[in-house]
Amino acid sequence: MEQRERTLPRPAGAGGDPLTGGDGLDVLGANLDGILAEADRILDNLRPINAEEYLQQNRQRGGE
Amino acid sequence: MNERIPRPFLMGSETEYGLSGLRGGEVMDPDEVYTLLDEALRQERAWAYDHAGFQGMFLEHGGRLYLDYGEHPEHATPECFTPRQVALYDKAGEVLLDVARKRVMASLPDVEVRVIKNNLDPVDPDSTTYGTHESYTCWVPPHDAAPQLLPHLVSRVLYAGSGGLTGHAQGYGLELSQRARHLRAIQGEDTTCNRAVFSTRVRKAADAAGEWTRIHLISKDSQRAPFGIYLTFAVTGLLIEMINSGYAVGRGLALVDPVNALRAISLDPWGRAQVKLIDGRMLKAREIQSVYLEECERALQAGGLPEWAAEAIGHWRDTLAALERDPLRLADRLDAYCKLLIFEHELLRASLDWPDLRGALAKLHALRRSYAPNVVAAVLKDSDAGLRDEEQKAFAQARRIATLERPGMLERLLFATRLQALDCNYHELGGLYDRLHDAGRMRGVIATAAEIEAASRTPPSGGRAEARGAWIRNHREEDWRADWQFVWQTSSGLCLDLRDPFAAGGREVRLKVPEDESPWYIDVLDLLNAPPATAP
Repeated sequence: MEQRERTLPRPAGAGGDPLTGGDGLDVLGANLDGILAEADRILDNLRPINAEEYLQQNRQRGGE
Repeated sequence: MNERIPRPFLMGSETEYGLSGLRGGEVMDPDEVYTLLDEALRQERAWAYDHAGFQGMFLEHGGRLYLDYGEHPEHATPECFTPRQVALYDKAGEVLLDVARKRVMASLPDVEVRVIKNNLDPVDPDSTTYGTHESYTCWVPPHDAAPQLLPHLVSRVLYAGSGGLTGHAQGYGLELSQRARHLRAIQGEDTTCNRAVFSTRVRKAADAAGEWTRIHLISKDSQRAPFGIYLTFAVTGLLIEMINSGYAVGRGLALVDPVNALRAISLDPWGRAQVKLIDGRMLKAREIQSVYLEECERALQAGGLPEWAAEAIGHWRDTLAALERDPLRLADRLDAYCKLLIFEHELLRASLDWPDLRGALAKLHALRRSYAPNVVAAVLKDSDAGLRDEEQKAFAQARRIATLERPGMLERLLFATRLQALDCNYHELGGLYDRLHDAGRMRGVIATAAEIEAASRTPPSGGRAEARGAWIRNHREEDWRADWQFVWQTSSGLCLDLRDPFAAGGREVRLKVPEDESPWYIDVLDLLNAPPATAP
């Protein structure tokens, strides 16, 4: 499958809901930047061996 | 279309959670962890024992929490009238488990409890799943509704999934739906193996009474972002309500292969996959959804749809428009696109691309399936220190399978492991999703934290859940038992009859309880059905 370069939706105004008009894109842009910063913080503090241990500790059985 | 006949319509969700615990760093039995949660929650909320057992309870919000098959805590919402209510009460289940989790950890400092709202075992996601189920009142035979709904159930993956990493060779690396890989049949009753896109399971006699059936779907994901829960129930509920009203929906959208179409849509998070219709056309999921949307918009203009329909259609239309422009516009309101945003970014930061990640995920999958956790951990450390002789042989073999000699391979495996942990952590209560939400980065859109907290204490008004919740709140003695269809006191026989799912208020009766029988074994429905039940 082809690779795609990421381009965040960028601001076009201020306020409102980004799905219904340009105004909310400011908020959306800030939210997306905030999401990435928080993900970076968690990932940067996660050692690989701890990550594997975390996954093994959280093993689950099938349900329903 | 026929003249609309107003008929009652209910919706609700049942969600199984992943559960794990550590005591002093040692892994605990999930049963023990659940018992701690159960005891803690009973200190925090009004409750009554679940008459059916399952270490369960009904709560003052009208819903139920119990330990289900596979040692999964399962939260069932009370009966809801609108999709917004379903979203609030589905999220209220998270609040209840989180309140219990925090209470346990505050009282037992050496215990760490993790509650995870997802659908896949993080180590072997291709083999192990657990579910979230939807219920809707359907006033036509399910076999008439199924063909109308199938193209919708396949294409709604665009917003009904919560996203998950995958090493599948035909995929992008992130699937929109965690459940997609576990759906194997078009229709069927099985919920543990041959799972169906349209489930025909009817669990109890009370779920199919006369003209109506409680349709019980199993194909959506558990979702953390409330907007996804809302939109899934809003659109699916609206289509079922249209069918209930005599409309035909999904005309001309029949798919050649619904199961593989759903899989293909799920595997392409950018929404470009096309699926084949019986009439020969190739359509994208968004285009299929747009046909349904137009049907609903026409019906809305004609009148007769539920009062929540206009708002639902608006959100649906905006979501499809955003998907057409750029799915990442939905990253602050739908789980799968939030993850897509994050993983795209982390790959760029690591100077890797999706094929690198897919390859590493596939290798990790192969390693974990074939070798013990300590051997896999040794491979990731690239050191056999501490392994016994036999394990060292396995290590050497595993190392070859991992092709660690290839430049950069170890780094890719380590990176993929960390992303898998981040993927899992997104779903953990108190994990990444909650941190994003608390920082104001995720939009609730249709639900605020205060409304969700209120839903964890108060039932929806106007239905039998309201009466159930009120009785549970007002009768705190330990000999009260509850069920969906009644609340009763074992010592007095006083009972609130809730057998009619559409009636508000219930009816008080006093049961003639056999004296020599344990309360747990008494069939309350038998007693209610056996006249005369006298007024108290």
